[in-house]
Amino acid sequence: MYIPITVDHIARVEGKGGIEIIMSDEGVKEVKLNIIEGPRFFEAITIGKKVEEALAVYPRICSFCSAAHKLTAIEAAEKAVGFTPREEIQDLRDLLYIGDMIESHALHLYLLVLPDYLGYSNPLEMLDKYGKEIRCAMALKNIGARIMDAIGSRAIHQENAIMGGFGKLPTRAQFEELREGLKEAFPMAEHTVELFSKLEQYEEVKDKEMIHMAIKPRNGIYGIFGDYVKVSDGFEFPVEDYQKHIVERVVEHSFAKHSFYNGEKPFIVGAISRIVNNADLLYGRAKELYAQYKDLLRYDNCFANNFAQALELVYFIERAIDIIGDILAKWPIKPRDEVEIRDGRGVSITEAPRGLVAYTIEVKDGRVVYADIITPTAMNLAIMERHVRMMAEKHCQDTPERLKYLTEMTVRAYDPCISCSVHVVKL
Amino acid sequence: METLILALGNELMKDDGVGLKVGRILAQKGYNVIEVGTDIFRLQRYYNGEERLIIIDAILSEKFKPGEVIHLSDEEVFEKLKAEIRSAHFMGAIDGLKLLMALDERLKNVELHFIGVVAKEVELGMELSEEVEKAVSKVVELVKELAKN
Repeated sequence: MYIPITVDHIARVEGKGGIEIIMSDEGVKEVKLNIIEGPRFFEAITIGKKVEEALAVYPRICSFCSAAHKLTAIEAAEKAVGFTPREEIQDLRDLLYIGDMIESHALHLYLLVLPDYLGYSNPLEMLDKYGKEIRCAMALKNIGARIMDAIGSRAIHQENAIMGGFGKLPTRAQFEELREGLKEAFPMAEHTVELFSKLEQYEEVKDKEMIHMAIKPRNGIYGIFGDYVKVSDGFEFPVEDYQKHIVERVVEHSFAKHSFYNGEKPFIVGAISRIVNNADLLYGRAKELYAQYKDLLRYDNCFANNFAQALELVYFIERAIDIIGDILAKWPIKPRDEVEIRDGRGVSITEAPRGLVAYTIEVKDGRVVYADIITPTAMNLAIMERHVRMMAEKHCQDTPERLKYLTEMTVRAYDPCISCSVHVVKL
Repeated sequence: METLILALGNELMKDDGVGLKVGRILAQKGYNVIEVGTDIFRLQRYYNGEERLIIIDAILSEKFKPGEVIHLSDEEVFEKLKAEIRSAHFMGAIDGLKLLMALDERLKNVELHFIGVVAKEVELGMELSEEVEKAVSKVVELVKELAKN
């Protein structure tokens, strides 16, 4: 007898997806994450477009990590045409990206993960008893959005970020205001670490075979941009070689391909993978907190990703304050340099809030002739499915409600962005 | 009375982009419009105490025909849309709005309007269906009427 248990819509993840668990008399027969994702569509619709026009399309893959897509695509396009940005421009891009990181982590931790742990179906219900936490979430999300507004000019799609730099820059006073806002938000990030240190990491998904992949930060400081990918087995490869080492495979039940390390092994990307590979590059308060909570930042449990994001909130707020300091020390800054559009192929891999995002862009006669995008959720799908299966196997005798609850929590720990972004209301 | 128009949707999902398309037309005409995309919480950043809030979005409905324009106001918005919110983003726009109203005193007394256009096609693509395209001018006129005073 097969009993399909279906969660049509995984509540509280970005995008649209579902879990299908097929049970047999012997237990779990099959687990499928049914993911509807559209990067292939975005690759296709940008072919033949002028490179500048294509760069306006890529961030629309996801409105929640649009800065990640925008900045990764810009870096790939700049490499394709043979342009290297100035250090100040790179600082500004780091800052814009950090805005995305802060907003995304705050939203995921407080509004998506926390209700599960506290027994609520949504953040609205938490308001009476956990008003402080909801206000904390909104304040952290807000400072992330303010950074993106100021530098990207719009909180979504960041049209101010262009090849060669930025259309215009915020004023010195705006940077100073942002710095003050970040300083005010810092204690809330510390509170987040304390709060999430108390939450359970389910042993059911303990996985000693986990392989973590993260960028090797370019400047030796824990961060977002880099030229090599680090693997937790000790291997490193240049970003240009990602298609050799991250092999995508089509699976029947998903529009999104599954990714395998060297064609064989599922792997994980995200905040916990950044910590596993690059914790030695943390500094400041985050470094102290890492030392204090090292045991919770486990390489063998996907639930550690939640706590790793909490730690990153502290780190990235402090890092943003420092970057603003560097920018103001070099003030005034020329917003952009001219970029000569030449033929070529460029690859960029960066650390989106949810993990590595890879872009290859090939430009000919000023137009995009090839594009390849792998999102962090696509990279995580295979291992996410393995961990959902592990959870389901341990709880297949439980009620369907309990099984749904635990498997959904497992998926949410990955902070997946299943980005068709259908959000329409129903009447 | 000051009016703020919230344009919701994803223009890369065919009819789901109708709110944004109407929003851009209204912005060109000088109305105070913010595009919140799929993130209603962006309202928090841009709300300046306007007394009237008009939300424009796509609706999925089996009861109504594609392209029909539905106007709900104040409590009706929460009563009629509450149970049927289908958001891919953890909580629906209307639940998100409720949360923001609970956090911001000024929003509690706002005159609230929701204008929904019944979608025909919500899938990858940038064009509106013919039915929804025809509704765009109706929504623009309705907003103009609502925002008159």
